Parts: sequence; C-alpha cells; structure tokens
Amino acid sequence: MLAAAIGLQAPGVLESLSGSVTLMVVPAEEYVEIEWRNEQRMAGRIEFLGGKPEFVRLGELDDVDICMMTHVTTENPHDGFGVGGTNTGLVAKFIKYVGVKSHAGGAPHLGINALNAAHMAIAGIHAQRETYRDEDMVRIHPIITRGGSVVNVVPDDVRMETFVRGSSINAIRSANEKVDRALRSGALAVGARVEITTLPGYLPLAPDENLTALHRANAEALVGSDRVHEFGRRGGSTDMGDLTQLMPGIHPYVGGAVGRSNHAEDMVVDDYNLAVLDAGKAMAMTVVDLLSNGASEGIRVISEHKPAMTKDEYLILQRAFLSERSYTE
Amino acid sequence: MSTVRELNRIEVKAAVRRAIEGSADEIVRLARDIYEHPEPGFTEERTAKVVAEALTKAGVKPETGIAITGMKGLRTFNGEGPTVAVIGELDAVKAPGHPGADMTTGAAHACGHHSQLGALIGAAIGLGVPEAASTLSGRAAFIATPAEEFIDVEMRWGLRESGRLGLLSGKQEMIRLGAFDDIDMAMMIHTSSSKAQRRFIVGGTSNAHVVHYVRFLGKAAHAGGAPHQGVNALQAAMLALSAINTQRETFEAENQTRVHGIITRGGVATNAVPAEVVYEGRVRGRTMAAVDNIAARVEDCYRAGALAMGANLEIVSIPGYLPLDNNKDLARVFTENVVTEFGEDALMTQADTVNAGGSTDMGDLSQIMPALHPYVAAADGTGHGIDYVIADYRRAVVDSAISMALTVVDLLSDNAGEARGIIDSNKPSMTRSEYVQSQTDRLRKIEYRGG
Ligand SMILES: [Zn+2]
Ligand SMILES: [Zn+2]
Repeated sequence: MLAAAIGLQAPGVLESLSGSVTLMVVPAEEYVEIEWRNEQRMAGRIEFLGGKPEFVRLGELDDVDICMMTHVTTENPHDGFGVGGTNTGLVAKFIKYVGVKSHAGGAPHLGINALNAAHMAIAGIHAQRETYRDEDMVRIHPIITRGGSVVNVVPDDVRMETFVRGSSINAIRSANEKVDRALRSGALAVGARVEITTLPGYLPLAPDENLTALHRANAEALVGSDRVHEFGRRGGSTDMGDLTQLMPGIHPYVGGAVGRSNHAEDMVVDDYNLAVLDAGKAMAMTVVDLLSNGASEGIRVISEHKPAMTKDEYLILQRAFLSERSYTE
Repeated sequence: MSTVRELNRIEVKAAVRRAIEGSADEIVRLARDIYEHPEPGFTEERTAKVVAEALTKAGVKPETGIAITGMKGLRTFNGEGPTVAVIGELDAVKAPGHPGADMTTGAAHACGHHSQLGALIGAAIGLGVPEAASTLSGRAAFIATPAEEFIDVEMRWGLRESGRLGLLSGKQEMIRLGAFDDIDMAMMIHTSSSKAQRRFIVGGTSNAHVVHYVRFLGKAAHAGGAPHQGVNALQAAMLALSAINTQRETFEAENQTRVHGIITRGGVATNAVPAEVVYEGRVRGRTMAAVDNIAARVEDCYRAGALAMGANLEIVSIPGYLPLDNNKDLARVFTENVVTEFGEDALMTQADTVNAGGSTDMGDLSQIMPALHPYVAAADGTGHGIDYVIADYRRAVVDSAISMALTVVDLLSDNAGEARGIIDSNKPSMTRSEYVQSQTDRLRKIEYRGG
C-alpha cells in the first residue's frame, strides 16, 4: 500500500488524475481469538469481529467507490501474480459445553463430561461431510480452546471455536444449520448443555471482472504474462469479500513467499521486491488507469458493476447471522 | 419311624438314579441329536417335536404349543402336594462358524441348551419309576421353554405385532400365558465351561436387562451423485454407538453395566445413502433401577445420532430379564444331593453376589417363585463362542438329570414337607400378575424426529 502511495505521489501524477485515492489500513482480517473479540463485542467496543465489516458499519467506506488490495501467497507463481478467483464466506461460532464436575477416577458417574460432548459434536460434524456439494466449498474446522481444567476432574467447561465456510451465503446458511445439529447432539449424547454463539463473519469474494482485467494488464506489464496466473475457487475467506459484495473490488495475490501454505509456521516472505514493490506498482498503475482521462475507466467500472447488495442490506444480512442459543438437545 | 422313612427315601432315590443311568445312552443321544439340529428361539419346531415325543415316551405327555414351541408335561404322584418344575431350554444361540452351526440360520448350540433337554428327559424318566409314584406327594412338571436367548428381536417384534407373542422370551411368555400358575418352584441346570474341576456350581446371580430395537430412518439418495440429498441413517447409528461409548466412564463398576448390540441392517446398496439402519441392543446391570438409568442415557445417545444427521428414530424398549435370585433352600437340597451322589469334590458354591454379567429369563421366574439355576461344568470353549462344545455329555446330561430328579424326591417326600416348607418361608418378590403387569408396562415405543 505504501509503495502505491509513493508511486502515485510522483511528480505530475496526481494532477493528471480525477477523483480521489484513499489509503486504508484495516485491522483484524484474521478472524481469530473469537472468545476475546466476542467479549469486546458484548462490551460494546465493536459490533463485527472483522476489521472491514466494522469499517463498513462505521461508514468508513461510504465515500469509497472502488477498492483493491493485494495479498501475499505461497502459492504459485512464486515469482508473479495470481488474479481473479473467489474465496469462501464464513460464519464464526463460539461454543461452550457445560457439564458437571466430579472426580474423574473416584466418581465419574456423578459427572457430565463436557469434553465428550465436544468430541461427539466434532464426530457429528465429520459424519455430515458427505452431504456437502463440491461446488459449495464447505469448510468446517473447529478447535478446542478450553478442554478441561485438570486431568483428574471431569471437564465441565469446554469451549470450541469454528468457522463454517461456503462459497455462497445459502451454502453457509445450510451448513451452519447442520453444524448446529451436530453441536446440539453432542450435548444430548452426554446430558450436557451447549451454548452456541453464531457470529457474522465474511461474505464470499466476488472480484469485479473489469477491475481484474485492468490490474492483470498492469501485472503482466511488470512481470510478464507467463508470470500472471488466473486463480480459481479458493477455500479461504477474507473480509475483502464483504466489500466486493458492495462495490467493485479486487483481491489479487502476489507471490514472493515460501512455506507449506499461508498460516503455516514455515510461511515467510522471501522476495520483498515482488511482494511489496511490484504489488504496490500494479495497484498504483491500476489507479492511474481508473482515474485518468476524467476517470472514464473508473466510471465505466462503477457503471458496469452490479453490487449484490446495499450497505443497509449488508448490515441486515450480517446481523441476522448473530444468534446466541442454549440447548440440552 | 423316621429311620424307616429315611431308608425309604434312599431306596426311592436309588431307583430313580438307576432308571436315569439305564437311560443314559438314550438321553445323551437325544441331546446330541438336538445339537445336530440347532434352532433359534420360537422356531424350535423340530426340537420341540423330539422333546415332546421323548417326554411322552417317558410317560409324561406334554401340552405343546405354549408360547409357540414351549411345552409342559405333568406327573402326578400319590398324595396331594405342591408342583415342582424341571426346566430345559429349547433354543440355540447364533454362532456362525461353530462346528455345530446350521448353515442357513447360523444357529448353534453354543450355550449347551441341548444337553438341558437330555437332562429334562432323564429327570422325567427317573421320576417315572413306581418307587417315586408311590411315595412322593404333589406333582413334577417337565417344562421345555423356548427362546431363552433374547435374539432375533426384529422377528420377535413382528410376532408380537401379529399377536402371536406378548412378551418376547420363552419363560416370560409362558408366565404371561399362565403356564407357571400351577407351578410352585422351578429348577434347571445350565452348562458352563468353568475351568473349575467341580461338577456343579451353585449360587450367584445374573444381570437384569432391557432390549432395544432401534430403527434409524434417513433418506436414500445416490451416494456418489447426490449425497447432499440423502440423510445417512448409518452415520446416525455410528454416532449413536460412539455416543454410547462416551458414557462408559460413567458406568459404576459395582453395577456391572453392559451395553452392547448389533446392527442387523446397515443399508441396502453401497451406492445408496443408507435410509434405514436397524440396531438391536441390550442394556444390562445388576438391578432394574440401574438398568433404567443407563437405558435412559443410551436412548439419548440414539437421539443424539439422529439429531446430528437429521434422521428420524424409532426406539422399541422391550422388557428384558430380571436378576436371578437363587433360592437358598432349593440350593441347600440340591447341594446335599450333589454331595451325596457325587462327593464333596463335585460341588462349588459361590456367593449370591457373584455375577458373571449375563442374563437369563430364569431370573424372571426366580422373582415370582423359589427357583434354582446351577451350572454343570461340562463344556469347553467360551459361552456363545464358536468353540463352545459339550466336552462331557455324561456330566452335562446324566449327572444333571440325577441331581435334579433326586432334588425333586427330597422336595416331595414325606408328604412334600420340604417343598411345603420352602413355599411357606419364601415369599416371592412379586406375584405373577404383578410380574406380567410390570413387564408389560415396561414395553415402550418411542419416536423421535431429528429431521
Ligand atoms: Zn491472511
Ligand atoms: Zn444359555
């Protein structure tokens, strides 16, 4: 982003452009530490647990027409760009199983094992996997953030976090209902109670085609067309997805990183020239394309883009995902 | 006076024993013949025919067809008195791969019931001697009961739905039909593969249980082409079984809880999402109250499996067996005969609390009348396993017949004083009608919509 900003401040550039360029630094794209963020939400400090949805809610994007960012990746091409492609959307869940403590050796029959409830819930989630369609790209991958207090006490407080991802809002919604069944069945199986908090997450990424084409041409000019790849359907999620539902936006990838995959412990950026400078150049050049000649390209991109929803519709949709429920079966 | 009476009784016993010894080949042959033709519960047509013919030949023409294949023959002695029943079980268990298994049904006498029938006929022959007829009072009943092994639950449920059965095991149903109304006390001897060199094992109890017949109902769809349109009943059942396993840590050791079952239908074609999965299971424990507690948890586990997958569920909870309560007085009379006839070394007694974990419908009988269910150590292998075979037929059939017949002699000699004393001093835990009512009330059908 800084590279793009510097480039656009080169002598004469801004004078030749129409409109404006906004630099945005957004927090909390990784949807993690759900329990803590949920506490922030309940304390009224945030409403949404991701940075961009929260920016949208606060009106920070009300005066933005087109948006772009570039994300680094370990995927091929290591020496170029990945453009286009989609990402899944998600809802996030925070789950708490409430059992009954007792001595795990001396009196297990007096306890209700919340960890076993969570275990059964995860087994249930797995048993449902065959019911998901390939094209729905459903991904459910829970973690246990609290699994008991000490080993000789029957666990009575077990907490899980999970995402329910899918390539469409309907896919997410339907998978989320199935996950709730599995979570409830875990409680029913052992006689525990489950508190399920479902939190609005991110929407699927739908990059704008015109914007993708402009950016792609610039990337090819920088690194050569053999080093710019068309990406396909991707399983990860980003809150850039939310913005692409509201306005023309792109979220291309740039190489320059190595490791098993993003989010792996061995993921490091090893080519900063590409990952920082070339990424910045491609974005700045795309801004120039959009805003030159009275911003005619920008106006075309905006006019040919049909946003999936308005901001109000977006907020209604996301808020409808929020639920806090407690079940014993 | 009493010396003369004692002498008489010894003579009677000698005559009874002689008659049984004289028929040893015949009754062992009958047991071996039944071993060769194993039939599972409520289908023991051939077995019943063989037993009825042998009883008739022994002079006790039985009433047949009670509880489908059961029968009861009565021998009336000289004087008035109580009725003592000697019981043999007609049914085979299922143990495919057992050397004696029926190729089509998989039924096999892997529990040794065939030798009980040899012993039953032997006792009938023994108690048919004129010495017994003239000196004993009351009656001996020779009862062959169907279906002790609580298996083929779906088939039995079908028999119930079509009105042919009320309760689903042989003794339970015979009690319900009143076949035991005129019986005052009952005994049988079951074979055992106990490594104890002692011939007879007396004492101990058995687990109570309930039987579950469970149908997980999903929705069929092409398992490759459209799994998202199906609801997988097999996954629901798998989850239910996993859920049950999570409960095992809550089972108290002293309760000797056992939860186990089989899947009798697990889908119809591998490329179709299974729409119906049938599970037959048991919940066992030392007391009915403990069984009820665990069964309630287990039912929640079935529900949890259905809920997770969005399947529906039918649970039929079928009254199973009550714990065995061996009558102490009957045990005393029996053990005296074992010691007299076979020596001190032939006897092993165990505490009333000893529970091997299995269950028997002799337990039900023991709750409504004085009853005795000792074991004869005559088999090799593990009960219900493919290696369980009678290693010593003489012991299993002939010695069992002798010890039961002589026990009947003691019970019914001297104007049946011993039997009358046992009836007077042992009040059963419930009346027959209370038993039938409570077992009938236990039967529940539960439907659950997880979808
Ligand atoms: Zn990231
Ligand atoms: Zn048996």
